[in-house]
Amino acid sequence: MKKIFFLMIALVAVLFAGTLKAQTMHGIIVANIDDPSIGESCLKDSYTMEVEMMAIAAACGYEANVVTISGDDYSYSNVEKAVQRLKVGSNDMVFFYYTGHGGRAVDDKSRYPQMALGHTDREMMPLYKVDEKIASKSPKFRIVMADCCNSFVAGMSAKDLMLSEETRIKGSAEKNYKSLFGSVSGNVLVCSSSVGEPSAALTEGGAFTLSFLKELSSMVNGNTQPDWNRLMESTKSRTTRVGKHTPLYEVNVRNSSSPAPSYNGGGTVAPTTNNGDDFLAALMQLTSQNSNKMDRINRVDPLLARYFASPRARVEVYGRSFNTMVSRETSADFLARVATSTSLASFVVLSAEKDSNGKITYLKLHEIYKQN
Amino acid sequence: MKKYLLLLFIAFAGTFAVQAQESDNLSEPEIEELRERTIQLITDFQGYLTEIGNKSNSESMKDYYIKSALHLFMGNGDSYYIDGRYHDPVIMEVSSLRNGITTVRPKPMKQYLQNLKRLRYTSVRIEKAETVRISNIYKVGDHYEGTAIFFQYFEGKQGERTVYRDKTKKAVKIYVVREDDDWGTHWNVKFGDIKVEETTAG
Repeated sequence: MKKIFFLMIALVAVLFAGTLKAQTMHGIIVANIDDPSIGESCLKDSYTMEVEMMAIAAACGYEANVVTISGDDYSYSNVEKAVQRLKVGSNDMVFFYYTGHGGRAVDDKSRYPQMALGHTDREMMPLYKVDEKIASKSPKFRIVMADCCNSFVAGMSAKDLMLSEETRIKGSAEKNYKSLFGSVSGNVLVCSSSVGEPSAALTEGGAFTLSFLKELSSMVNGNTQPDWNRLMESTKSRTTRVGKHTPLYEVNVRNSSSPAPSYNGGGTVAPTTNNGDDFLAALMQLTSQNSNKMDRINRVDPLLARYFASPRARVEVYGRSFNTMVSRETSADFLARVATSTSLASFVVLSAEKDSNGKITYLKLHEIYKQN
Repeated sequence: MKKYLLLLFIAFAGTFAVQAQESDNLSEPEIEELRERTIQLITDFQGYLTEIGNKSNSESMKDYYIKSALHLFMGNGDSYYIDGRYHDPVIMEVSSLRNGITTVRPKPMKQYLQNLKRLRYTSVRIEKAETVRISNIYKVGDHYEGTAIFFQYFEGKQGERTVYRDKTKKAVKIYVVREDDDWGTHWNVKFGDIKVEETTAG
């Protein structure tokens, strides 16, 4: 359906050199992008959160393992599987993010909503249960966040039992990201609306998600000490002002004794991708500041031949809003630029089109730069 | 249970949905994203200078970086057309500070990069200093212009002895121009002349 879009938005990772087992940021993004009323907004949310997760991972020196569940994959069972299959190390971080419809039953005990992962009551998944499930895996730090309504829905039932058990860059900013995400343990549980409230979906994304990202950006780029309570309070304030609904949150965060590894501007180990495609891994290798510079340059032609239909395949780079094309170049020029860049940290592939041989004829992506 | 669609964009200045860049004018959000892009490209350019000057890099490697660097400039370092006329190739001003006196000379960018490749020091260190600063980008005729400031340290050594060292503040002219390619027209960021604003002892 959607072209050959690997809407996946793959991910990226930055591993720290010389270490066999890297700390990992496990991201699960669940986005209802096909809904006629909010799909466009959710799609933006999923892109922006993907970018933010990668920026967090890059700044903290974590390997990123981000899974996006959307489009045809959007289902209760896939979300359940993604959560249950998480293999989390004790120093890892888990970031679960949902954008879509939500609601609550009159007899729900939790203040947090149920996520609508389908069209039936059976496909409503309580947010707090996701938090519980992730907590049971004992990550060092976990964030469970939903941008959805928390209003009462007739006919919806409370679900006390979860998911069947058998059955997802500037020096100061980097430091602040680490303070918020890398050097802490505990958890953050957030929903965009208070009990009984709907949530606003703007064309650019959910009011809550945009508010969170705006406040997060202010905090990591500002001069004040990063603090989760302050971040969530300012997010709440902005969301209330803009979206006319009030986020609900719990912050239980403490400084971790296990400091985040230092950022190295690129990895020596190929990052994982969430769709089995090694293109992103190859791109990341091409940007790696730890690789020999001539090796990086020497990889350009083989990569061009392997992944692109021709040296003149179209590559478009979009800015952070994903609306503004900031560069268009041929695949040959793109790879040459990537191979020589000293500040590219990672990518989000927004879409791609391929020919009958599986070679890319058109690539649309967003680039993340390390800020110096 | 539905999210209600609010079409109030105003609250999120800078995140307006923007039209595909088909029009002759850029919206504020588009300009902002192109400014960010400019900073990224200048950062890359500074990295290229480091590698081109680095004596431990091979000739072919330096040539590769030179090619990448020239790509960033109007006309790829050759003469270029804008404002209804052809202009001489972009220049890079170079400065030297001796006995408290600064001498500034313009060099065509291609020549500057070639000279940088073969400076007569045994080692050269060029490092970026401070963050890139960029002005507003404003419309001039059929394109947009702005100015960015970057800083760099330069150190040349003979053996273990530092022969020359300085810190320069340079201003690069920014052009956002419409370019035609196989797929139509689009806005693109290109650099123009780079001028020395200030040179101090490093």
